[in-house]
Formats: sequence, structure tokens, C-alpha cells
Amino acid sequence: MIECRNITYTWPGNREKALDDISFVIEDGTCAVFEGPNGCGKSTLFRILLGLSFPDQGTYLLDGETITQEKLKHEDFSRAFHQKIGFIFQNSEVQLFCDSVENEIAFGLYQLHLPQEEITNRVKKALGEFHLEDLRQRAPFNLSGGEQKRTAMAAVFAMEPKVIVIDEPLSGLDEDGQAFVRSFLRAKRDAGTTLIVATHNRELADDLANVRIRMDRTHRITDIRKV
Amino acid sequence: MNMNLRVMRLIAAFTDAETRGSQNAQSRISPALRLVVCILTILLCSLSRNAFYTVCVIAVLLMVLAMMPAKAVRRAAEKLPLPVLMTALLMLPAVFLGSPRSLVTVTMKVFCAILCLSLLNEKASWKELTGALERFHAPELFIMTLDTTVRFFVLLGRWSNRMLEAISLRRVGEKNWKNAGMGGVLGTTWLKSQRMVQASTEAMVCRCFDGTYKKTGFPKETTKQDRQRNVLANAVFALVIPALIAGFVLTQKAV
Repeated sequence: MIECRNITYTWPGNREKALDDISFVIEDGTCAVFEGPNGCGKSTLFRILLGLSFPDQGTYLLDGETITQEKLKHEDFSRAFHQKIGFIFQNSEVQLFCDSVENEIAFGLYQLHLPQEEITNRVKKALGEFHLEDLRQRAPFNLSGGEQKRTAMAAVFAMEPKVIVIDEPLSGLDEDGQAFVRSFLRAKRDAGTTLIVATHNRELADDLANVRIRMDRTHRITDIRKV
Repeated sequence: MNMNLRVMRLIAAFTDAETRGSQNAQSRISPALRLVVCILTILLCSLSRNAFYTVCVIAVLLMVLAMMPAKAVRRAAEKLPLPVLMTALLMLPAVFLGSPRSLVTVTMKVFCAILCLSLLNEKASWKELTGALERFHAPELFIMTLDTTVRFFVLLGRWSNRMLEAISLRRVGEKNWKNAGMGGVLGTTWLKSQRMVQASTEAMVCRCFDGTYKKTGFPKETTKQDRQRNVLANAVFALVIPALIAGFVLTQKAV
């Protein structure tokens, strides 16, 4: 379960708050869709959920445990935290840094210190699930936008996180790519993975959301609606 | 005349076979072995005290280059003129100081080194070369830094190119648009590089990065016959190493 209590955040050097008194609860196995105009604070909130930024005020809890900067400095805690929660960037190009698709997928698995056999199996499974078998030896930064997105997703899903945060999952994808991502996310939600999605796409929100959370330009949550 | 034709046909057949089977030929010889031979060649040429050894090595390298497809020859040849001319220019004072041989020797050594690296570049991909470094137990983090640096060069190059295209489209009719936009392109590329580095770092943190960087090393599916051919090809190629050293020793004794 993810819980945010009265979170407030201001970017260093800015006076205006990027997040103002944000509170919500996301139950396990549900899909929460964040909606709102550009610049309303969705990405900043995601950074906090991922432990990349820390709130000035308020508390962020993952499975009942408060996540703080101090705790994330400990390697074991940090590894356990990042294994639980994965992130797929809007721009996949910067998320991919290995020399081949298969190494990209294996990267996170090596960080988890899994046995080689387990890594091999998970990489093969991810390559199959995301139709990347033919691209396994290709350099990720030379792939098309859709292929990069699939590689980024394969790399994150192979780590089998409990929670997945996705920023604009359909951006830069053609119709087939959108249909694939949509059905894949739906299947993952139905299988019990918690999804936190930011999107401007109403169809996707209607399709996936169990909870719709609306933010506005005041950087506050204006509406939380269970579907 | 007939003899010439036969020789030409033989070379054509050999080059054709090399081109058609380029993937096989490239994969048979280990990139690590190629890297060792390349470094050794450059090292021995640099240490050589006479031009004869360098001339012999250049002759062999040019022969290898001549066997390659036209596109590869062009790519390799494109890299040569600038460093060679720069070296010649820098060594020009040596002629006036009474050591004209230094100009020739050093320029040839630079030519040899660039040619050698160009051939290595044509025969082994960047990925194979970093894989070869791993075999020599180079630190994983060092290899990753190299990988990432090259990737960023490519991405930022693409980014700058797109920006230049955008500027050219917005400055239709202006002759000096390239110069006018250069400062902006460089500045924006610099800012973009910082953002990309931050995003990449965060992506790595999100995937539990703790300094470990390993490659999957999935075994390639090969038949026994393939493996035997690989061993044979590598063994034959490895003979280049004693040949290089023997040639070096013999030519240095002759000085």
C-alpha cells in the first residue's frame, strides 16, 4: 500500500510550491491514474514516490514504512525499496544505458544479485513477452521509439516490482504499440501489480483506472474518485 | 594478360567470399585477439627505430584494407588524412633542423596507428571491444563509463543535428545561419547533456544500481564444427603476434 500524508514540496531555488498538501492512499493491486494539466506536479510527485526527491513536509509510506532520505542511504534498504517500486520514464531514450537489449533487461537483475540461471530465465521471458527476441543484440539507443519503450518496460517488469510507476505510457507509440502497452498493463493490473500512471489519454484512464486522482495548477489534489 | 586476369579473378573471389561471409569471418576471430594484435602493432611501430619495420607493417595493413568491401575502405580512408597531415605539419620544423627522416618516420607511424585502429573498427563492433576489455579484467565500472560516454556522444550528436536542421529551416535565405546558430546549439547541447546525465543516473538508481555492471554473456548456439573452425581461425590469426615480434627484432638488429 502507498500512502502520502500532507506532502508539500518546493524545488530548490523556487518560491512556488510544486506540491501542496498532497494526501492519498493507493491499495495493493489497484491502478491509480493521475490526471491534470502540464506542470501541475505529477512528475514531481512521482519523483517522491520513487525516492528521487524528498518532501519538505509530510510523510510518504510504502507498505507502512516511512521512506526517508536517511533510510535510502542504506544499501540494503535502498535495494529492497527500488525492487518494490519500478519506474518507466516518458522518454525511454534516457532510461536505456546498456549496450544491448538483453544486457539492458539483465542490468537490474544483476543488481538484485539473483543467480545466473534465474537472470537468464527472466531475460528470456521478458524478451518473449515484449517481442524483443529479434532485437536482443541491438543497441537500445539505435531502436525506434516504440522498440525503446518496450525495452524499457521489459527491463523494469523483469525485476518483478510490486508497484510500477509509469509516466505517459502511450507517448510516442503507434496504434499497434499503444494497443500492446494497454493490454499488457491491463493484464498486469489484473495479475495484482499496483500501477501508478500519469496520462493525458482519457481512453487509457477509463480502461485502466480503479482510482482516478485529479490535480490542478494549484499543485493540489482536487478530486479522488474510485471507479 | 591471362595471368593478370586470373590473379584479378582470384582476388575478386576472395574479396567476395569475405564480404558475403563477413558476419562469420568477423565472429570467428575473437575481438580480444584483434585488440591485442592492434595494440601490439601500434606499440612495436612506435618503438621501432627505423622506417623499414613500419613500412612493412603498413604494406600488410594496406593489403588487408584492399581485401575489404569498397564502403569499408572508404570509411577507413576518410579517417586517415587529417591526423597524418597534422603530424606532418607539426614535424615540419624537423626538416629545417637537419632531421628530415624524423618527419617521414613519425608521420608513417601515425599513419600506421590510425590505419590499424580503422581496421579494428571495421572488424569489431564497439560492443565486442568492450566485451574484450571485460576479458582482460578491466573494471566493470570503467567499461560502463566508456559505454555510456560513447552512447552520449551519439545521442548528443543526433540532438545537435536536429537543432541545426531546425535552425536551417527557420533561417531560410540567410547565408551565414550556421555560424549564427552555433553558439545556441552548443549551449543547448551542454544543458541537454546535463539533463540526460541526471535522467540516466536516476534510471540507474531506480534499477538498484550499486556499482555492479555485468553483461549477460549468453552462450551463442554453435555447432561442434563451428567451434573447431573458430579455434582454427583464432590459432591462425594468433600467429600474427610472433610474426610481428620476430619482424621487430630482426629489423632492429639490422639497424
